[in-house]
Amino acid sequence: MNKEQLEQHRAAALDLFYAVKNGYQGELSTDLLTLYRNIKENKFLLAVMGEVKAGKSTFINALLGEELLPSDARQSTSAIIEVFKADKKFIKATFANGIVKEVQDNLSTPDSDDTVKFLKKIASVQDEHRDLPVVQLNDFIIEHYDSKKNESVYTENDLDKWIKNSELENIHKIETEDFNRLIKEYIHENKDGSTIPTKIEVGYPHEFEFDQFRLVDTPGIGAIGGIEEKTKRFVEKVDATIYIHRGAPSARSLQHAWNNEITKKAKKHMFLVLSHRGSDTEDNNVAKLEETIKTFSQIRRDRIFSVDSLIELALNEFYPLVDWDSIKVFRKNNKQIRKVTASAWEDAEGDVGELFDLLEKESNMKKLKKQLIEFSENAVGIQLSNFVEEIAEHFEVVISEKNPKLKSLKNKFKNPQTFSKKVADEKNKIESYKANMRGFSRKIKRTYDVSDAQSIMFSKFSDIFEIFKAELEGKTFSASDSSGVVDKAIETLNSDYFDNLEKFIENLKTSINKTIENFNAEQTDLSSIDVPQIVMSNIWESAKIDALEDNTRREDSDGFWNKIGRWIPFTDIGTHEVSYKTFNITTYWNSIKKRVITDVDSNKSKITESINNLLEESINSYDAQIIKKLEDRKLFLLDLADNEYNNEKIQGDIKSLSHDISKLENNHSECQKILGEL
Amino acid sequence: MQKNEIPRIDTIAKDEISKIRDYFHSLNKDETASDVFIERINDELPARIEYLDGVINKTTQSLLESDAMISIESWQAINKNKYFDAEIENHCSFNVKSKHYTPYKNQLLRNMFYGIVLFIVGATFLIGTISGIDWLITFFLSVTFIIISKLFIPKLIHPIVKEKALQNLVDYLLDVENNYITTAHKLADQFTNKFDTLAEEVGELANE
Repeated sequence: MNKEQLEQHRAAALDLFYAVKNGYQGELSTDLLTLYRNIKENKFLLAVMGEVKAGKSTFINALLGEELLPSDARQSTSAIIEVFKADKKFIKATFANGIVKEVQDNLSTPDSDDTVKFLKKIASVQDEHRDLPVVQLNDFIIEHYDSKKNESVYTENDLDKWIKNSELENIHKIETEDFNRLIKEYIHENKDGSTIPTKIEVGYPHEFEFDQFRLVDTPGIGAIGGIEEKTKRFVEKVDATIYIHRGAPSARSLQHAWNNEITKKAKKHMFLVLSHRGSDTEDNNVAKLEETIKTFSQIRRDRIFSVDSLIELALNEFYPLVDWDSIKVFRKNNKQIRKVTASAWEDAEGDVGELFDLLEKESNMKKLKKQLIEFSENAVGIQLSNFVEEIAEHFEVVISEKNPKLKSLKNKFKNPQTFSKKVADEKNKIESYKANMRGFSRKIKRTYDVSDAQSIMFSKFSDIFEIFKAELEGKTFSASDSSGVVDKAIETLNSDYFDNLEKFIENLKTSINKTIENFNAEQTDLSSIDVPQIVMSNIWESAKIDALEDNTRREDSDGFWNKIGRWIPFTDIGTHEVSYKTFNITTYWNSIKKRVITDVDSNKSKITESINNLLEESINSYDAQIIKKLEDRKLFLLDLADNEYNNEKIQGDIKSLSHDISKLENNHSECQKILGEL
Repeated sequence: MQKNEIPRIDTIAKDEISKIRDYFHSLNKDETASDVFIERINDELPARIEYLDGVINKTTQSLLESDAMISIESWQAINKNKYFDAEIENHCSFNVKSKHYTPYKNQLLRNMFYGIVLFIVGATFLIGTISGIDWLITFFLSVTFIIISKLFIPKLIHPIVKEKALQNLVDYLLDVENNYITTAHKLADQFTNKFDTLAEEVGELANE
């Protein structure tokens, strides 16, 4: 696949990434995000990982064919060193204080390599600090660095606590007091961050195919297998790993790194390199390799190697020398090379070709290099495949999340026509209920209104008064009857009339309540009506006055002449007129009757008004009950309207979700298509 | 709107008026003095008429509502409620009021009778003088006539007075009855028109 096609796929993959990013509910996986960042920045990160002293830098140097990185036996820096393809050597170092320093190879001075010198200076541990765990101390300074104050900010207490709690490696077993003092001195001296590189980028004209291919030297994993947080974060970003391991595959550090530090993505494209091959016998090397292959069966067989980087570096030095004597002189001046090539030197017995063959066999780097070159050629494709695979997996997650939602929505969704019908039915029911209620209220009124001639109560009510009047009219008294007889008779009639009225009102109340109850409403405690009493004492008093008739009679006057005068005929002489009153029982009764009837007529109007108020009260009470029921039905209607609205919303959601799923499925298909082509 | 119930108002008005008429007829007993009878009519009638005005008002409204309820029975519920909301009854002038009763005045008849007596006495004197009859005989005849008149006129006049008072009452009640019927029918027309307008507005005219 050519660069142009890869670029097209890259652009398509990035579009797909944006699509999945927009549609994904949770957090995107770290693998996807790091792949995205690397692809966006046009980087393929091949991290060289391994324990401290495993020979990572030496391995990189052997791979590049030059002692570029400081390969001191001491772990020197916590900075991650990225080696990328460039036309010439180039170092760009970013320090903790933010200062960036750049050094380029000066081609006019081939003997003096400024870049290597600069790299050695910034990445090596100074002699006075060789006893200290410099990487961890640098991390403390970086962690507490305050860019505003341009230095690391901490209290003595913070520092003491950190020293106490951190498992700082005391390599040379210095007295704790001295060790702690040295640590403090180092931190105080370097707290401005100007000597601590945080990132080192190395441009190098390596032979790997793609520009974006980057070899990364990571800080070593501690003896117990631990890894600094900063390195851990970086490791998450890498696309592939070369893990350098010295020793048996069962070593705790390797197992720990495999289980905890190496990401799933990095494991997928991992090279496991057993280093220092030359320092062991061939049989042991074969046995170690077999055991490693068996232990790490997930790693492709052709990506597990046993190599010796130092022998490879020696070979690189020997190649330009051509003849045996020149090599001999070079070996004499270089103790380490003399040591690692001793066995081959002896076995070659002066044959340069044989020496090279033996050393190549011992270093075993040829196959690895070939594999790596092939891998680098496919790196961008692999990276894109990983990226698109991750995207496809995310699409699958989104689709699998959305499908049940769609199913659930479809289950919830109801036919809108059913809803409309329900709402219309309910509205109609409410209207009918309201109309029935209002019709019924009026019917109650028409049935029980005592002033309505067609009501069933009208005659009953009128009869009470008419009968009372008729009874009054029917009563007669003889002149010999006393007023007491009349009073007693009228009192009885009045009492009967009053009782009849009270009974009528009670019956009326009961009937109203029963009627209301029959129409599904509760009875109410209706107000009582005070039936106006006819106050007989006042009537009797007034009637007695009316019944007294004025009369006169003549009586004899006293005295002699009056006695004489009475003898004179046809005259009233000798007498005088005397006034007296007589009680007329008929007049008395008529007066009582007249007054009672006036009172009764007046009371009839009053009672009618009271009964109508009572009727109004009962209708209002009934109406209130019905209005409450209507309100309940209206609430139900509102619920129904809400449900209808929600159903419409669900319909919209289904449409939108179906559209989303279809789009996601298309995107997923697009991923599969790209993967197929890659 | 079909007027099925409202025609009953005629009968109801007649019946109620008849009840009043009968009641006062029943008071007209032989032994009842005309003064007492007239006084009772004057005292009791206004209250009864005032009450009956209210009854006729209510009954007219009630009968019209009954007719309206029959008419809206087949209407859609929503339109039924529009009818109730319209409160047509509140937009009609339900205010049946009868004119005041003018009491019968029995004094006129009484004076007329006494006038006739005086005329006869005067005529007797005049005829006696012209015809030369002895004034003593003429005087005797006149006194006798006055005494007889004094004794019999009241007995003669009472039933006539009661009859006249009753007739006055009957005439008045007939007026009241006619007024009730006329007013009720006017109200019925008013109510029906408004009802029909509403029915047309809500599109239920055909369903009445």
